[in-house]
Amino acid sequence: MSKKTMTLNLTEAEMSALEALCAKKDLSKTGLMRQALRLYQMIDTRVERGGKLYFEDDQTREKSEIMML
Amino acid sequence: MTYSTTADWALARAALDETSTPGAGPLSARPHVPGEAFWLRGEETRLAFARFVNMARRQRGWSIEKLADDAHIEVGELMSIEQDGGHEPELRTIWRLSEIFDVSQARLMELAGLASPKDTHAIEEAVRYAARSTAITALTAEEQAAFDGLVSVLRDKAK
Amino acid sequence: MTSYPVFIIDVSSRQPVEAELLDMIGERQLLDWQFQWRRTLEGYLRRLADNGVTRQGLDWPQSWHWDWRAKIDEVRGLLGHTGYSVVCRDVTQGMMRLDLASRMARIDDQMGKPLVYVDYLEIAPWNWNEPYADPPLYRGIGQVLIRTAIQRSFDEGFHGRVGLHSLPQAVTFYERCGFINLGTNPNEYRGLLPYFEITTDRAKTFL
Repeated sequence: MSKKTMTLNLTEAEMSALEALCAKKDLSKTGLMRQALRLYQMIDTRVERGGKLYFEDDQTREKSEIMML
Repeated sequence: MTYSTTADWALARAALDETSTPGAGPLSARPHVPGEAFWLRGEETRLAFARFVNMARRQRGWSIEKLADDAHIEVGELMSIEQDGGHEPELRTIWRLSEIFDVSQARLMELAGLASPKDTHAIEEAVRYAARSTAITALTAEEQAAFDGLVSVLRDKAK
Repeated sequence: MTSYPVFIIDVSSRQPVEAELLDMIGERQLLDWQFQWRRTLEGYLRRLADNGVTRQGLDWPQSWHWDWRAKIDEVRGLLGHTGYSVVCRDVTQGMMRLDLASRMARIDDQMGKPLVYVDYLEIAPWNWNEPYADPPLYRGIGQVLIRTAIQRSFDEGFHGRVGLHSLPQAVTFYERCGFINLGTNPNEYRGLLPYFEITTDRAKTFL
């Protein structure tokens, strides 16, 4: 499969966060950005179909809505 | 990085003697048989759903407008439900109808084709009851009996 | 679409036979599922009806209500999901849908790291090894699919990590593949399905 190359312009803080996540998740920068894109697309599609994305507190079972169209 | 496997690998894994059937994903509930019921989906049950709404409304002597008003549903949608077998009702409409007719929302959703039947036997029964009815203005004695049967299935909470 | 040569075992001859691993679940697979898998499954359900389904235990086809067409429609166009199928003698023998993005590992040593999660895995009913079924025609399809999930995990940079929720009938299968059984969780699948995960070392052994 042919791949395309892209240059990202990130601030220092963003680059820092990216690097920290890469270390934590043991992924390359490309790998991590790929995961981010996949997740973003998944969430966007589900929300579009009428779903809501929540975080649910493990203890209290309380939901806090975090993403809307 | 290869996805191909070799005959040797297949034999080696087979030698570990797997006797169980592989599978991953949500567990199906105990099926209700006969097997035919399991083909029930969408279009077949929707006709039964349409009959139910129609009969329930007429049994109460309500016009379509009155039902639409009381249940806060669009008249157009109600007409589609009763008359257009291809129409897929909205979730909210099902909920409203289940409330106003006092039947299980889950069962009504299954009948409307919006959810896979958990109890296919019950849904098959519902379809049979609905098939006994005909579309005339007042419910005949036969229709009433069929309707009673249909309601009892729909009121029965999932076991 | 890419097709890879793989081998599964023909049960009657006990010999490996050539099959294809496809990196997708296409219309052909869905038609096989709808008309061939379902037909066999219906037969088994009738058989269960005639013999009386047991009230104890879980001796029924544990994936009978799965709708593969819906499962594929659900993820069409999404980068974070993919599917694989195994075809032998022109008939689909097994299918698997994967989640590449939204699940993280739970085993202590790899906690929080991304892995390949098996959303659904099913083999054709005529290959099932169950009391209500006819003797299986082929074995080893599940092995090929799990190996594929592991291989994909390495390709994604996830170092072979794979996770899944096992159907009760398949617990031994995953244990024998080297997965670790992390048990059930009342908040997931109503506490009915144990969660399995494989580590990098065990994944390498499996390949």
